[in-house]
Amino acid sequence: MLKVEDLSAGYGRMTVLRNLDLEVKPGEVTLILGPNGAGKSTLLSAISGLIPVQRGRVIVGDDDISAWKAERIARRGVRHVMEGHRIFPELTVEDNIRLGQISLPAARRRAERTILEEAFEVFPVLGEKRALEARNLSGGQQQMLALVQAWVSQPEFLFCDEPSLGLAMSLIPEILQFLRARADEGMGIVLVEQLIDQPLVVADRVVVLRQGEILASGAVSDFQDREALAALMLGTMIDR
Amino acid sequence: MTTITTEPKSAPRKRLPRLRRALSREALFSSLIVLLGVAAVTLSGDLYWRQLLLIACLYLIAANGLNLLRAQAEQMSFGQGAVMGVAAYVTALATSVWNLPGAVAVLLGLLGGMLAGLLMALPALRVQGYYLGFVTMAAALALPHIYFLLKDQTKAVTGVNVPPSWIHDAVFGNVTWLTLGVVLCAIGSIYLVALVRSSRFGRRLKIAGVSPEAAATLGLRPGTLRLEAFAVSSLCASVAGVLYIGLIQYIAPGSFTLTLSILLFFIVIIGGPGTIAGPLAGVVLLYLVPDGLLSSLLDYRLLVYGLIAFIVMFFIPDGIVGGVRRLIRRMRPHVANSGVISLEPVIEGMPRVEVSASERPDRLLRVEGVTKSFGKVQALSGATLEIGTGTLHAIVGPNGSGKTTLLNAISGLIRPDSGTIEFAGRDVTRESATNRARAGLARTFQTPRVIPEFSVWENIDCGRTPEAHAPIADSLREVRAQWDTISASTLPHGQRRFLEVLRVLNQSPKLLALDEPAAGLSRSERQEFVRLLRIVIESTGATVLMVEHDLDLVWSAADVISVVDGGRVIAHGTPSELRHSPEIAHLFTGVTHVEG
Amino acid sequence: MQELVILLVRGIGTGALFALVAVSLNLIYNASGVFNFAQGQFLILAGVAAFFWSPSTIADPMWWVVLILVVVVIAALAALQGALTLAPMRSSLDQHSWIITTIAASIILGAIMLLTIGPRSITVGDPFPTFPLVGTKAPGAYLALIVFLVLVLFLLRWYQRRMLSGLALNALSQDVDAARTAGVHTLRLQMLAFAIAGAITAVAGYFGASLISISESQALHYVIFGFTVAVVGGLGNNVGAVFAGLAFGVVLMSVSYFFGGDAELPATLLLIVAVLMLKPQGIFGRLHARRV
Repeated sequence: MLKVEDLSAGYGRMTVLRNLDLEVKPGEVTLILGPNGAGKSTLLSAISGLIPVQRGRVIVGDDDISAWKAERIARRGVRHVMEGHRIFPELTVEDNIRLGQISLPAARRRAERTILEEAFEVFPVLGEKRALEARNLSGGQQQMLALVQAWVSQPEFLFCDEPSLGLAMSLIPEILQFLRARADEGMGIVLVEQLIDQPLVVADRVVVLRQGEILASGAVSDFQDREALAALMLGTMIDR
Repeated sequence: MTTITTEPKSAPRKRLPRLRRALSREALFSSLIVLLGVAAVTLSGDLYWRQLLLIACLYLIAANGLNLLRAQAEQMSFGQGAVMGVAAYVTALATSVWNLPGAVAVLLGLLGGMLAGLLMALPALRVQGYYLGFVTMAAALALPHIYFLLKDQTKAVTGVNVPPSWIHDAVFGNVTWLTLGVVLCAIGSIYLVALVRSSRFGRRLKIAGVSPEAAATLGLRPGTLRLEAFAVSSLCASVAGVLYIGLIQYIAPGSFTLTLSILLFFIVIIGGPGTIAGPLAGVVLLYLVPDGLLSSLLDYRLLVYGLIAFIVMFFIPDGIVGGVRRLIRRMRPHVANSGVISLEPVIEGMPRVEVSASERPDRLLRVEGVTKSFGKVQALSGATLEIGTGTLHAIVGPNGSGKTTLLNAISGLIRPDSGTIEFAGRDVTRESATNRARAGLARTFQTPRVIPEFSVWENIDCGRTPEAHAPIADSLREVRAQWDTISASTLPHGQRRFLEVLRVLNQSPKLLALDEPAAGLSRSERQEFVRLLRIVIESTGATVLMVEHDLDLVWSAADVISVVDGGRVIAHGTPSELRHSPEIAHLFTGVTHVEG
Repeated sequence: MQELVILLVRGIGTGALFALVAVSLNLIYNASGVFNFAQGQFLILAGVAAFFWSPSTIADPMWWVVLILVVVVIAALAALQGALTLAPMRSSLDQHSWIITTIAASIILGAIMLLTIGPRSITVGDPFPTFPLVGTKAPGAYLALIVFLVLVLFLLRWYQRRMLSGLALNALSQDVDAARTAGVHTLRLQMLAFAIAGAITAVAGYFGASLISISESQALHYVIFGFTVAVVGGLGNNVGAVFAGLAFGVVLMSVSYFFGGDAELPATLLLIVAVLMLKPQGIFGRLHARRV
């Protein structure tokens, strides 16, 4: 279980998130919806240690990780795949995947050939480009690569920040299905999105964030009226 | 015959800025220490100590210049000693070899030093920071070799002796003209630091150093300002160099090595950069104490410098004086001026100018087919946009759609690959950000570029002197005294946003381009912010363009909205026109609207 | 003709030394954004070690034993210096404290050397056998440095592609935040980069001891030469540094030949000012922008 209690976070003096509470359960996809600037990425970055927690606590299992460094949090099994598919552009596809195991102690590392085979089974397109430098991949392929890189580190919790960003709509289901499958294996998934339709299909729980505050949260069954959900996200933009 | 020239009455006399009170106190204190120190050793008649103290004064002069460069302009130099050396060398040659009169020799020395300082800082026009550290260090290393290359002209092999002259005569007691000159110059350099720190020039140096792009959008030229900072700093070093010849009366290529430049750098860093008394403390600790009191340990001097530098960087990164000050502040809990500025008086005080619709052009900005790619990423692919005068125009779009790139292309921070940008009827596509700012195109940044060391007022008044009388100027003058006492470091984030807007308004812009102005503002601050923008438009006739994520705010505040996606403007209209557009909802939430 | 060839070989040989210093500087820069002003002291330190302890020829196995000791000690020293440099950068907001701490480190190392060997410039014989060249014999140290440079390039490439820690070091130079969220131990790797850079510089100084003037005051000269090469080659770009280093070596050797040794630094100053004014990103360009 990953618990966020009364969290405030931001950049420098700027507070973007205010007094936020959140629970992420293993085996579930928690979908965080919100418009641009709602504080979604800030939330993930604060949990994963990229930006300091200004107030409140983040607890994973028995550990209070609020003050931990990003490296340590990653090694603890909380893996943040940042927005904009931040793979390492000058490394090959294979090397990007191999690097994923860096956060594991030697005893938990698996044979590189095995992890590569598994990865290419899930995303065959990456197998075709295994020897290319990652900068030559399309946006969608880079997103797949970033996810695979996180996956091979066998995380307990996987955060995925706007995987659909800048991707062709047709590629999105494949990526979302990958996340669903990981949740079904027992991983706790946090999926951050601004798009509603497709992510909603794979989600178990929904949290709506706007201007740094949680507007609504609950089981996915409570959020089946998509236009109402869109109105909630965008505020007065669409007539209610 | 005498001619009397009178200034034309209309031209306002340029006055020196008033010294800030704290600085003035610190400058007086430092000057007294210099004066007392030199007076004491002069009275005691100890020649060794007198010489030591006078040389310390020279180092103080050069270090004060370096302090300005380091703390005010945020640049660095490992060539300050070399500049001092050139000035000294030229002075010595002019006196003893070319047999020129003393005054001419001094002038040539000053010119030579400044020239050397500016030449080695020439790359400051293009680069900044550690690059300049390396270049100036290369210069400091190269100069002794240059003297040897020109050994016929510089007498490098023997060195140059300068005969004593009237400056060594006593004025009274055993105070010579030279002693008097050195002390005056040292005190002068202390006041120079205080003066620059209190002046608008100093504030410009600071903002150009902290954020070159913010400086450019205020109509300043950061490269030129960096070079000007080097000029001031070199002037100080040159004065010290010329006086050095008076004191030592001998120079050779080995007199000014890199070690001196590094000593001066450490004097500033360890003493406390940005403070008036810092260089003085540095000179005492790094020069007077080791050379005067611990001269038996001279061999270990370099070792000690290095260790002190480490200790300071680990424990008191703001230097000795900075550290002491922090300590005092902690021991004496004072009631800080509440870090809140109220916009009310400023907004209320602004005159409402009636600009008739026929007087102003209906189109202020036109962006036509602008493209820009960063490597493989096409950030803008033919963006076209028109902005009417006196409107509040918002740009919205999903993440990564190219909004900020578009704003940067408009304000000139990036140069588009193709397309044209027309501002106020002029093609500005090829113009720099500085020139666009001067033409009336202002902008603010996602993270406000506020300088915490400055007061609120100083933060507002750090741009170019506006040509036209800014409509906001009168009401700002009302609050100046109060805002000058509030340190910007105490301001909460939302207020920093307001501050940045006031700063650009002080430049009387035609167009205010704001990059995500509402980010990090509380709900009430957002409302106040929108109100401010409305009043600005009404009272100054300015146009506001903003990139904003908060659709709530955009929908309620904007006159016109442009929707950007994929590096293009895909829709354009009033809030009510766009309100019911299913495409917009789809763009932002991915929800497909099903009819019926 | 013969003179020209000798000029060229000497130039390329010393150029290899400059390139090695530049590669060391790049390695640290890529991993941490720091330019190590103290790097020159490691070069001189290796030279001093060669003066005191190394046998006069590589045929003596002791020569190799001393080499290994020198490399290990200097690498450890560099790692320590790295830790001391990086510590204030992690805690304080001043991201430029490294300029002061690396200069301070350089001064401390220089002062220690000054106290032990004094200000004199010491000379060391060439331990490598000479090699024949257009009817004359050239010092073997030139060849050794060139071979070592090529070796370093290939080894670095191999390490940064094959070994997991090498991949991580490589990743760190591309995107710091992404590397941290992948669980890369930044501080440990940055110290490793300092250590590797120290080792490379140590070998360069040990091999090239007969070619450089070994005195404390020369250390910063080599930093400036290395920095110039790194800038011309494009900061962080090792392949660029190699070409720039060799070319710079030839230029410097020619300048020295025609105008005397005193012209070396002024020519360097001229070059670096010109490059920064005209093409600050270097002749070969940066490989990539580092995401911090």
